[in-house]
Amino acid sequence: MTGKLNFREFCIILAILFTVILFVAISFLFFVPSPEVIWTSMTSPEMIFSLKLSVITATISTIIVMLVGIPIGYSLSRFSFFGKSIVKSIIDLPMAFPELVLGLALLLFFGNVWVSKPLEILGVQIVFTKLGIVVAQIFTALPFAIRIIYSAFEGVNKRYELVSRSLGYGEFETFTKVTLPLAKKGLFASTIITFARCMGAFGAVLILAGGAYMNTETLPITLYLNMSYGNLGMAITSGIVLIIVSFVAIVVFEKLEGLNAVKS
Amino acid sequence: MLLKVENLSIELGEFKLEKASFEVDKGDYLIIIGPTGSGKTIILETIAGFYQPKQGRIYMNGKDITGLPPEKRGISMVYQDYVLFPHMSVYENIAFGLRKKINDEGMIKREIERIAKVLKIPHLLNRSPTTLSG
Ligand SMILES: Nc1ncnc2c1ncn2[C@@H]1O[C@H](COP(=O)(O)OP(=O)(O)O)[C@@H](O)[C@H]1O
Ligand SMILES: [Mg+2]
Repeated sequence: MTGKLNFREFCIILAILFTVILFVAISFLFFVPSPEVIWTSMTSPEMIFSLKLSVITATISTIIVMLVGIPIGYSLSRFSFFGKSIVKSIIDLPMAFPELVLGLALLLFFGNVWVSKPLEILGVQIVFTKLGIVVAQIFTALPFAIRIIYSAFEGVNKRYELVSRSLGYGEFETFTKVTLPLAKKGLFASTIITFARCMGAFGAVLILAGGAYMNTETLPITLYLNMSYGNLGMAITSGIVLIIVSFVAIVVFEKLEGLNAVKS
Repeated sequence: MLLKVENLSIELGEFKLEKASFEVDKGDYLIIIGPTGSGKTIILETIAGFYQPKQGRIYMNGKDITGLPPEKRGISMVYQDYVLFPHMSVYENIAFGLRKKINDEGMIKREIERIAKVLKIPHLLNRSPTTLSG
C-alpha cells in the first residue's frame, strides 16, 4: 500500500464493510440466546398466538393490497385523468411519512365520531381491534406496492396492448390476457414485498390496534412488548420468527413463479 | 373507398399533426414517408383507434369509424417490433388472432396446422417466439 486510498477502493471497502456488519448483526440474533430459550419462547402460547395472528392478518392485507394496488398502478401507468399528479403525490407521501405518524393519523380518522359511528352501525370496529391491524398493514404497505406495480406496468410496452385490441380483444380482456401476464414478474415481486411489509408493520399497527397482549399482538408487537418487560429471549425469538416467515414467503413465491414460468 | 382519412388533426403531448387527408382504395398500396418522429406510426395508430383525433374523420367502406374502439374497427396493426407476444407460444400467438374470428378450438387447431404445413414450421409451434431468430 502506498498509503493513499483511491476512490474505487474506498467505495468497494465501504460496500463490503457495511455488508459484513449487517450479517454479523443478524447472526447475533441467532447466537446470543441459548437454543433452549429460543425453543421455550417459540413454543410459548404468546408466540404461537402472535405468529398465527401475524400470518393471518398479513395474508388478508396482502390480498387486499394487491387487489386495490393493481388497478391503481395500472391507471397511473396508462390513463391520464384529472388530478392524476395529486393522486401520485399522495401515494408517495407515506413513503417519507413515519409509520407512527401514519398510525396516529389513522387513529384520529377512524376514532372520529363521523367515521366510527357509521362503521359501528355496520358492525365494524377498527380502533384497537384485529381489524385495525389489517387496516394499518394495508396503509403501510399499499404505497410501496403501488410503486412496484406501477413500474411493472411501465415495463410492458403499450404496443402489445394495441396489437391485442386491433385483433378484437376489448380493454379488460386485453388487460387479463396480455398486460397481466407480461407484468407477472413485477407483480410477484410486489406481492412478496407487500407480505414482508405487512408482517413487519409496527408503528401504525401499534397505534391503531393498540398492541394489546394476546389480543392485537403481532410479531413486531411481541418483540416490542417483551423488550420493554426486559424479556430478551422472547424478544429475540420473535425477531427470528419474523425473519424465518419472510424468508419462507420469499422461497414459496419464487417456487410459485418458477412453476408458472415453466408452464407458459 | 376502402379507407378515407379527412382533415385528421392529432395532438399528443408535445406532438401535433395538422389536417392530414388521404384515400386508399381496395387493392391500393399507400406509402407514408417521413423522418423519424414525424408521426407515421401515430397516424396508423389513430386509424386503428388507439388515439382519438382532435379533429377530422376516418371512414371505412363509407362508414364513419372515428368514434369506434379499436376492437370494433376490424383493422389490425402489425409493428416492426412487438409483433409477437413473448408470453405465448408460436401456436398461441397464431390462435390469439384467430379466436375472435373462429369460435371453435378444433377448427382453429386444424387451421393453424394447415398454415404451419404451408410455411414448413410445424416443429416450431410449441416454441416461444423469444427463442426464434428472424
Ligand atoms: N402517446 C404519446 N404521447 C405523446 N407523444 C407521443 C406519444 N407517442 C409518440 N409520441 C411522440 O410523437 C412523435 C411522433 O412519433 P411516431 O409516430 O412514432 O413517429 P414516426 O413513426 O414517424 O417515427 C414523436 O416525437 C413521439 O415521441
Ligand atoms: Mg414509427
